[in-house]
Amino acid sequence: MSLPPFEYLAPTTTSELAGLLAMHQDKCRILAGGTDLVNWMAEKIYRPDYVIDLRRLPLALVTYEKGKGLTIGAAATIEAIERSPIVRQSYYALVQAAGQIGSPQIRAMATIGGNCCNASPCADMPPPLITLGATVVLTSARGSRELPLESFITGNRQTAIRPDEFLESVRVPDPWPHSACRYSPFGLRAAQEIDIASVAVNIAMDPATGLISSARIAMGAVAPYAMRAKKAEELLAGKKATAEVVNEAAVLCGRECRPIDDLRASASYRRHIVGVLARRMLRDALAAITG
Amino acid sequence: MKRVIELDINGTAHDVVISPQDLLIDVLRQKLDLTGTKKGCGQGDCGTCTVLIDGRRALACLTLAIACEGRRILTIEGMEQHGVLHPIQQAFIDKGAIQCGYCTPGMVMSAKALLDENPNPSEHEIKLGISGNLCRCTGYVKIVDAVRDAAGRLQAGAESGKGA
Repeated sequence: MSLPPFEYLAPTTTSELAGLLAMHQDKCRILAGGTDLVNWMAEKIYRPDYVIDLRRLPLALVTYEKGKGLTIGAAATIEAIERSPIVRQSYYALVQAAGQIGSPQIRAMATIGGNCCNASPCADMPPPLITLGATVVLTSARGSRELPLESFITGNRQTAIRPDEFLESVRVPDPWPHSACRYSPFGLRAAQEIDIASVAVNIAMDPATGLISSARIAMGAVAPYAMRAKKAEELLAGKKATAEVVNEAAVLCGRECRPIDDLRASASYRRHIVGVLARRMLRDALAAITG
Repeated sequence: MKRVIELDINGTAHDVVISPQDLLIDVLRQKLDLTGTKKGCGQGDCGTCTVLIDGRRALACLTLAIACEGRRILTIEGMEQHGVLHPIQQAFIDKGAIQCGYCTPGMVMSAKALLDENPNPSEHEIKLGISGNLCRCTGYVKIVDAVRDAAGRLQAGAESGKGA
């Protein structure tokens, strides 16, 4: 296996990066961890004239500031996210998602920017990020804009990024008070599998009334992009978290998703699994809140 | 466009002429004759090309050689010190963890990364540590035994080092 030829560029400032993107646009690809890009170049899916490596840029940090929330640099590795103390403490669903990606080697190389920009329908990071209200910061020579991750990913391997933009960081707001987030993928083997379905939930309770104050659910690998289970979310809001309510919400998730039949699973099996995962994740999150 | 880069491999600086699209695995094997690192699937699934870059696991088949300038690369050839096998290598031999041997270099490098971070892993942690390395011969049991044995040897070595 060899790659088609290209010119390699490794800018050292984000303004230099923005300038290169403005100049080369569709003729270049950004290299972060390379776990997808190198394979796609080897398969000649991409034949860029220029590969722009992020490695010399300060984009690999995971930082937190109270009130502003979490900022994950585009080139932060999945391993760095999984091991980040603040992520482990306050954004547990991201740890659960990061720990499921690929293998230890892939996690040490692959990045949050790659996982979001490559926009695989079965990517592990977008479902929990969407339930946490994550946004992406897109930067170009024209300036920066911030979009909800949910509207950034527009389809199977499609995003709203423009040819002169790069994803600079993923931002996750402070967790809701009295909340918990949980994520579970489901695959056919324990390691290095591609999910057949996944569910993330983020749920908050009002401690005064004991009622669910907010709920967000996102489902992966059962639509062209990680999709919200809005009917189930509406059902949960303002309710007491009984087993019946949780079951009903889980059934709605299974109905609302839009899976396909493929070699990994049938659509009907995926709907069933979404219901099972949603029930489990809701129970886990509720148990984590009530302690 | 060809250019000369300097790669730090196993503590030695190598000047090597490469093209930007050259993969680290091919540069190691074909240009530097470091054929200990194996090429298996070539797409990041099998783990036999695992090396350590700045102490972290990396798949040489998905890494551009040019992106390794200024970084420390450790391959299986760098494990042996002064003609003595590394305790992980010796444990693989003593425990019968090598059959065809094709996965072994990657397994040893993954075990090294694991034990550097976690000197006393549980069986589950060992399995997670080598979960990115496929072996089609052994069924993994003897490999897990070897990593556990290596952990004991390294800890005993560290303790006797302290006493001395």
